[in-house]
Amino acid sequence: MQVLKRTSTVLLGLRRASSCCNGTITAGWKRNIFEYSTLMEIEKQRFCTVVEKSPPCSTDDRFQNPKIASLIEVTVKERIQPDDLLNALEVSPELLNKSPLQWENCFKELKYHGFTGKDSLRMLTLYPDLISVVESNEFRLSMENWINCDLGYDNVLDLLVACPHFVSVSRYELQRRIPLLFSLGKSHGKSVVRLLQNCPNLLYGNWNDVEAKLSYVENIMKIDTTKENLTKCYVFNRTLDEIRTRHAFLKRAGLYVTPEKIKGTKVEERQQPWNKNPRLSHITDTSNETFISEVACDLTLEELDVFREIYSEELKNQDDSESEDNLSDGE
Amino acid sequence: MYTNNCVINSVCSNLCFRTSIYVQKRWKSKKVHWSVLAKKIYPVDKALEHFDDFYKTVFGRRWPSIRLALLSPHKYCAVINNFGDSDMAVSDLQNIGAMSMRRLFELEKETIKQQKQEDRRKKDLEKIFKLDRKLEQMMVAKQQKELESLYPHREKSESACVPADILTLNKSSSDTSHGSSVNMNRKDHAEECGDALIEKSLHSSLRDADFDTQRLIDPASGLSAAALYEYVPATRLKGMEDWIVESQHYRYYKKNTDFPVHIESDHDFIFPDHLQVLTFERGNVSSFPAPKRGSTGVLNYYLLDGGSLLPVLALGVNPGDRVLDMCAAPGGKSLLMLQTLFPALLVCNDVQESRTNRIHAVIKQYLYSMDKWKNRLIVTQRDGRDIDEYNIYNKILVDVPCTIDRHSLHENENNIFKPTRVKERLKIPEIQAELLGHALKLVQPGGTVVYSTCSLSPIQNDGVVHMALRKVWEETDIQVVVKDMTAALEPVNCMYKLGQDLGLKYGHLVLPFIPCNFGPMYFCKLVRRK
Repeated sequence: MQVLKRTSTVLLGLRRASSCCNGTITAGWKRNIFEYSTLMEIEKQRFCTVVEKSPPCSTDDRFQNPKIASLIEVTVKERIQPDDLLNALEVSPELLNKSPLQWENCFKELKYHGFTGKDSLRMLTLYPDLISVVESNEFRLSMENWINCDLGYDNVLDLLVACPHFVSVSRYELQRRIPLLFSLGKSHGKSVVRLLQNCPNLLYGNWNDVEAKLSYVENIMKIDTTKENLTKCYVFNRTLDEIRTRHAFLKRAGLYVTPEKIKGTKVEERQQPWNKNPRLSHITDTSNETFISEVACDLTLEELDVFREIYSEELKNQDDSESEDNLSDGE
Repeated sequence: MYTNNCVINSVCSNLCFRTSIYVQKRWKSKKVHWSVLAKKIYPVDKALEHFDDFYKTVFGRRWPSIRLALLSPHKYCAVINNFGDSDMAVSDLQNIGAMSMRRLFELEKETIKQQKQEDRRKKDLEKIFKLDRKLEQMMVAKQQKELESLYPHREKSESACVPADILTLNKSSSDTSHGSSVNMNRKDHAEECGDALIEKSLHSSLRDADFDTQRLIDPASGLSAAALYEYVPATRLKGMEDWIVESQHYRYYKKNTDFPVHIESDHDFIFPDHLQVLTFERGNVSSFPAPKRGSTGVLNYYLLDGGSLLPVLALGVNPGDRVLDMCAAPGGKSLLMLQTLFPALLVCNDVQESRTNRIHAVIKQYLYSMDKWKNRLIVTQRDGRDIDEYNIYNKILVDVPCTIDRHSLHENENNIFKPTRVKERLKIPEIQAELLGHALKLVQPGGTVVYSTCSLSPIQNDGVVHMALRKVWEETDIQVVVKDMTAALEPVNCMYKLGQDLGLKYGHLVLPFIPCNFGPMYFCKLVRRK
């Protein structure tokens, strides 16, 4: 083990030295490397047998992996800590299959577009195929498309760091969807980016579903979307039925009162019962447990579970009756 | 006015006739515009508003749970018709997951019994442990006494009551040979001195205490007492705009008892052998398929609210009983009593023809060869207060007309919260009390009367029982005993949510709870003694 560690560090030192020298002593270090690499081969075999017998390898041991070592070398230039790299490789091990050269090129390209080293690593971790996208020159085209969306350059960078798979969205899709999102995000690039960061589905999902959710929130729940910031909640991550179920649950329990328009003073307006309604984000963004403990405090999880079952049945019956009505209208 | 109209009409007709002008007639049409419909307040909305206002104060933090259950579809149970293909019906329903109520209650009873036994054992063990601890304490005390007898100098030091540290210092300086004994005494001393301090605080602390005069509040300055008595007149009373004056509504419900009420506890109730009731377990929201006709031409089972079972069980029908169902329509509870096969006579009464017709319809659907039933099952149409067959019935079920909370929240038709039925609704508690009072007079001495409603209102429930009992006490010398069924209803808790800590004095209330969405159902068992 110790020998292996020593050889790898020597090797690393040699490579570093070689990168500094301008090939004057090329033959010498090549011979040295050859010697050390044969030594490493022998040591590697020994190491493998030791590893097989030993408990799961620790971080120190992983540093000895030549692939990882070479990647560390590449990433250190980008000021990335080896631990961060190891974590990234743990999340997406397929990144190990890419050569250090590919890594280097990818980082170069991302840096050219303004992504920092850390952001680049994050993007690679979330979307390992990014390397091949960069290689095939699709990345540049995609960046152009994104910049043409008028979201603001910094906003685009933020968005792609959060959701790097957006790189592979076609130009046609972007042209079709982004204007719709602008209508949702009050024509602000930043809010569109926030919406997409919170609910990436908005870019791919069926727009009719999105509209249905929005109209439910606006027309049935009567929530003023100009006051309630939609970009701060994850309402579009929930299905329409989930939103309907939670709303119906609160409404039947008397904990949600549908707001009405009233003519009166501001004090009177503030005294209306719907001012005690829970916020939309509390209704949609919470887990069942948090929802029960914080929003619907006087009810139990058992009641919510049973209600969900009952209400799904009710929704099914409603849909059936609607479809029957449509059929009879058609006839 | 009439002459004016006539003149106008004649002028118009002349005009039409002479100049042949066509005047379009204006038809009154229904308002169907969506905005008009959206603004319309239906009886259902009125009912919900009333309940929100009234029940929130009664049930407090439980109200959201009850409200949720009331507004959701309720749970049924299936009463197997013994006159149809009962075995087949039972097996069919069991195949879809239904369970026998009787079996569930029996199992629960057993577990409660076992639990009680365990509790008793634990108590016994606790007693033994206590005894052990006492013995140990005695032993320690004895040892201490022995020590005291061995080292008599301890008493001297006690009388001096010098602080322990000084004592030890003195002792160590004067007599080093008794080091170990001194240390032992030191501990005892500290305790003794502590006791002395406590005693002092109890007896003479007030005498010796130094009052912190800076903390005394002078009533003349700052927040004076007079400021607290300043009268702030009410500008507006909320709820007074509504059609019911709250004071009138509460008049029926006086909590203070000004007459003797005998309450006895009932430990058990009988679940008749032939009565087969099936339902789905707690949390299961499956529904029963519609009943089918069997080989005898009658329906196999009757679906009714699970809450309706409890008043019938509380009535405790025995073989040969003569039973009166005072307000029987639609006939579910009467059918339950018939399925026990116990009553020698069952009289189903209701006040309206439409309602008695519903009883007839149920009887037709569930019983065959009606001639055989002629003498055992009678349907009458009278006001319950006019029934004059005294000392005939030994079991009377008074399932009175009430606000039918669940129905009022779902159906606009025939809704008691219609603005046109205000007076009728205000009279409800009075009629209920009269019906119950009359039932208590009708029933044979020793007989049972069960009063039940499907309302959550404390006025219609305990309030009415209270009022009827007082009336009976004032007007007659009938002695009535209220049966407290809390112990008997313990096994029922697995299937029903019974209202506890609601301050119910006489009866029991099944609260709607969504995992077992039965009720609301209030029932109170009364036994006539004299």
